[in-house]
Amino acid sequence: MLETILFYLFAATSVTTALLVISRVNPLMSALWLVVCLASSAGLFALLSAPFLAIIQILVYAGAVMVLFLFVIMLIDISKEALKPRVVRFAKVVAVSITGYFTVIVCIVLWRPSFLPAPLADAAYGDVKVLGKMLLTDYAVPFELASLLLLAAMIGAVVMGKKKL
Amino acid sequence: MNLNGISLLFLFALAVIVGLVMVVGTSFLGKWRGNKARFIPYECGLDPVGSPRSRMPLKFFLVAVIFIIFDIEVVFLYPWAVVFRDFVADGKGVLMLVEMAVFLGILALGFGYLWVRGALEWEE
Amino acid sequence: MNWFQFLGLTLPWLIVLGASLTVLFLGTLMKRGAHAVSMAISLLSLVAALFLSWQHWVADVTVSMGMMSFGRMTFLGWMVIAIASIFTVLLSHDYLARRKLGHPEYYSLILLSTVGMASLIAGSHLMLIFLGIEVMSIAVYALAGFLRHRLSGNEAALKYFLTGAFASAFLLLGIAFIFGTTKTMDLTVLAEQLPTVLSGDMASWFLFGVAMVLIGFAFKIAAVPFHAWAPDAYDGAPTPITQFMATAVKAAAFFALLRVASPLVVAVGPGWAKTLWLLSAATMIIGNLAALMQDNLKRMLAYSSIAHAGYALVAFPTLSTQTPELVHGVIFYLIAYTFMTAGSFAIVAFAQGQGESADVSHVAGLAKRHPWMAASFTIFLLSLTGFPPTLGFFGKYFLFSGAIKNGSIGLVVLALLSSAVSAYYYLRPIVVMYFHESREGVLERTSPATSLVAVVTIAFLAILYFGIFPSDLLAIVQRSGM
Repeated sequence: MLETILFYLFAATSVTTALLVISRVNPLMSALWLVVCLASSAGLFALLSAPFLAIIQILVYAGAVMVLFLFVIMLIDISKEALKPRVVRFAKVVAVSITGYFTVIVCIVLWRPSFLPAPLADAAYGDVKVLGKMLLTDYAVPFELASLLLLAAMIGAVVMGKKKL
Repeated sequence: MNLNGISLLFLFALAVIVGLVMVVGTSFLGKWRGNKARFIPYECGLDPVGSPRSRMPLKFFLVAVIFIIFDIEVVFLYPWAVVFRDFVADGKGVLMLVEMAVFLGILALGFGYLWVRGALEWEE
Repeated sequence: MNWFQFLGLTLPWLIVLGASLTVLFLGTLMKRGAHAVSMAISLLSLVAALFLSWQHWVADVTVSMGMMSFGRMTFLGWMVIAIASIFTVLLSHDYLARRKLGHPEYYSLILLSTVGMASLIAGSHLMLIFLGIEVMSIAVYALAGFLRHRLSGNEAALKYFLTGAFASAFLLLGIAFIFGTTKTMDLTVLAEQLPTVLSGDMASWFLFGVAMVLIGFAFKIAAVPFHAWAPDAYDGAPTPITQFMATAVKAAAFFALLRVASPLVVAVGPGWAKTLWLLSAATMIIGNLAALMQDNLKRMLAYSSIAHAGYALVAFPTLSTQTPELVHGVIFYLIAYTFMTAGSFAIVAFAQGQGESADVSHVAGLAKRHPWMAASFTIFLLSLTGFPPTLGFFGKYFLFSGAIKNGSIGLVVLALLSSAVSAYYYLRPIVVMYFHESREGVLERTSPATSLVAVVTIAFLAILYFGIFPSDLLAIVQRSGM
């Protein structure tokens, strides 16, 4: 019971705040709503018995990535004119109707009269120990490759961001 | 729902409650002695002119990116630390140590590069 | 897992990785001559990788370990990207030296990117394929914006990064759906499970995932309608990097798509064949038509590379495990395309000289000043059009004859018609080179750098040799299996 209430609470929060993110005129407000959105999806992860993922969501996304977002927003000079509410153009009408059409198609295709309840994961699923074992044995090669990814990002950041190369 | 998830949610709830109590509490506990001058950035001299939204120099951005990269590195360190003892018990300790050493080694080299390149210095 | 065997098999790219780190430090610490040393180390490591991949190919090891499947096809793919990267490094030295941009990061990122491509080509697990794509792309995003003082350089990097990140999101979402419905990301296991999944009640979710993966790949190979980033990114990037994006990145993405397509996209059924049919047709028609209107050589080659991706896609609607001739056709075509495109970009880099503009007028009068360069460019362009006896002709021939054998006659007719259109814009620079007077000061009397001449010569010889004896190259491709 508590689980269901919490699920609806987090789900409603994340959907509402996601809508707020894309509808705010001021990008700073969008970014701050995004923090709430990410935090409530972290709650969803915790409910799905994936505590590690929930922690990462807070630590990396709601923490570090949001810091970067805020920096980028402050990096670009946003004048008052740029913050005016957007004008609806023909191209946007077309884009929205195509998206709507696509959504309807996808909903029709994916709709099943009754969703099967998700199979119950065992208690160890999503546990940090299981995750760590998988990461270091089966997923050892992608794990090492991830360090290369981070290295490439590091060099790329210097190339793009350092004043005097 | 397993116990891990529930305990984590308690932690989240606690964090939210502490934050709210601090914000709401101060407005009740503290006595507000207000006058108009308190809303002015400086209580003497000229009123500030210009946009409060000043542009941030690019060097902040570089520091932020580097911070994220090492933040993500730590994320990988955590599950390794949790299971390392089990691997040692299985006799696979050396292999796991090497795996992590390679991972950290590549990033440490990256860090060394940032250092010698002067990316951590404050360019004026 | 036998780690020693694994390290032995991946040795070519471990060397490249080591070289990348060495360049990064040596280039930063050395005060003088850093550029030449960086270039030499990069070149040596790539040549070593090429040689070792060839040795692996000769030894013919077939084994799957560490989420990678090694076999002759993998090693052939490694050789293709090693050759393409060698061309890039050779072109870069002169280009960067003229602009005083010889930073070690440049070479280091190229090498890291090739390591990403190598794991992308070898990967038999969607996780590894995704990570490979990301390592490859992130390095190239930064490289695309390496001309930091140019507004169009920044535009190139930003457009490429945003659309690329968008594509990665699609790819990852697709992988998540596939994993959610099948509980596996291993391509061989997926191929076995496919019949059960498709008849089960999760089928539509699985297909949704496949669609997302296909969109992600279509972005990376710049197939219409996911191509809009390509012309701007190609135009604003430094010319050697444009060449890198057009050859190495595209070849690696196609090798991976070939591996992913047969268990996932194609095996699903006729609905997907139709989608791929449309993708291929739209890509070649729009690529060729848009190329007609370009005055800028780099933009023209960008649209031409879109069109060529469309030709390679001709094989995909009827692809299956029973059609080795289609796979071989695509790979032969990719190799041919790599040589002719690399050669063309070498000439463009030469014609650009000190400036950044790549207008077609820059090659005016090239025939008088540098007859050999003009002759080579003519051969490259004729090969891109598909005239015999060049490699480009046989690339198209093997690809299209394989497609006809498997019944995609309509698509081949479209491909032939649109390549007839392409003759117009490929022949235009030839006319300009031979019959237009050069503008004052556009083309200096300086002789081209040795490394640039090397690229042109290698590409020229490869196109003519394999154009006259295509069976040699075809034998290598055919003996690589599937």
